[in-house]
Amino acid sequence: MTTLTKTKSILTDTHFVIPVVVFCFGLALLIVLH
Amino acid sequence: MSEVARTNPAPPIRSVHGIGVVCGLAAGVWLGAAEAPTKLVNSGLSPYAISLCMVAGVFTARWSVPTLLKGTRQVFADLAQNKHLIPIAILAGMLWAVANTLTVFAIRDVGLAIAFPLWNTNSLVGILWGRVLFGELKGATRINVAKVVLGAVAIVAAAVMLGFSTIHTGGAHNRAVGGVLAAIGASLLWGTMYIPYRKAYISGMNPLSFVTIFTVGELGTMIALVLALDGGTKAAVFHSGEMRHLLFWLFLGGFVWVIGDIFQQFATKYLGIGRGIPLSNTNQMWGLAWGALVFGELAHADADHRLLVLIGSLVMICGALAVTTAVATEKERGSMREALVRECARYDLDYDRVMKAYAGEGPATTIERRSWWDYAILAASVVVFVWLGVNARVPELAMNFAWVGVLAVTLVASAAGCIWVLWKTTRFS
Repeated sequence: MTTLTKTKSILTDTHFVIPVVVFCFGLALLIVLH
Repeated sequence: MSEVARTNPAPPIRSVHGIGVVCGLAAGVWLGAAEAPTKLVNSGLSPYAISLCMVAGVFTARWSVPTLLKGTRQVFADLAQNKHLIPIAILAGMLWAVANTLTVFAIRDVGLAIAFPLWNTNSLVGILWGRVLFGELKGATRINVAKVVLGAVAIVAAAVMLGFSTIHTGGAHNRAVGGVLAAIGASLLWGTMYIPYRKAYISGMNPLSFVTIFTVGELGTMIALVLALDGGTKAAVFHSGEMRHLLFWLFLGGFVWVIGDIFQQFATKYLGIGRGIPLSNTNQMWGLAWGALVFGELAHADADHRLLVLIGSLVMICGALAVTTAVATEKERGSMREALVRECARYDLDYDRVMKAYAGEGPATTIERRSWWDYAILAASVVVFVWLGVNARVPELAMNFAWVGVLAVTLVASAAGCIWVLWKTTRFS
């Protein structure tokens, strides 16, 4: 498996998607509160 | 054929519980001490500026400590083997930076007394993710589940009690909803940050390599936040002459924090999120010890506050003991093995290599010749710290130097013990 395939795979991995969603939520909250 | 197929039935995982416990407790000692240098900073600078300077110190330490322990060749060889995990390590650093900034808003809007208990629940969020995503505590005995969950709750409750003992609440707060949301957001972000930690370690990545990349996301996000929300390139942090005198203390705080965080990373690796994070959250007790014994923060406390400190400390010790004695049974270790198998199948990883790395039996650290840039990185870090130290201004603040000595000896002893255990049993694998 190439690094590119692995990287594509991680982008759809729940272990990556959940932190991304939470990060976006946190950033949005920060911008609203600022 | 997948690597998984040829490894069935999988060999049992050796118990690394003891190593994880030592790392978790040492992490508590160091993370608690990291607050001490920042108490010497009373500048009126924005919280973004303070955070950015601390993170700059963290960045310096995160590159020099792994270089000192393993050398950049080994760190980069590990990264090359786990390139697909680099985005997730950067993401973890970004989560930390945003969570840390949210706490600033939480304190501003509702005060520390309300915000602190809310964001301290991050270890409970971590336990939830550990159970749902990595099968932690799956197959554990009821006693062990109770020990971990109640132990973690006790540590959170004790942290809140200890926090309250030094908090002096202000008046009414006008933006309560926003402040509460910020504190809950920080808890969620910090609790979620443990997903990348655990993900990296069940894939066989070394904690020292992980933190080297983690800090890129951390520093990058803090710089972006200062540029976007704190005045851009005109921000005081880039121009204030005061900064030169304060930087040493912030860098020192960052450096101490990094040592604690590295131990926390190893605790997460060897114990999992559910056990490792609550143990390292005993830092609150050590932070209070520095505040009370060195800076005399409880000098004018009444009997109720002193009782709160006593009860809080006892509850925290009981919680830590409960988590420490919850040793995973073979059935629970089987669930952890399933999480490893999933990673190996999904990313076509060598199961045997990953299993060995996870159990601390990775390739031994060879004593190979250090590269010239290893010495350059270490020398640059020393020069930075010496230069900042020469320019530092010692604030006029009453300190008990006898307790500074006692706590400093505790710090060094805990680090020496933990490093010895890690080196002897895992060679920092």
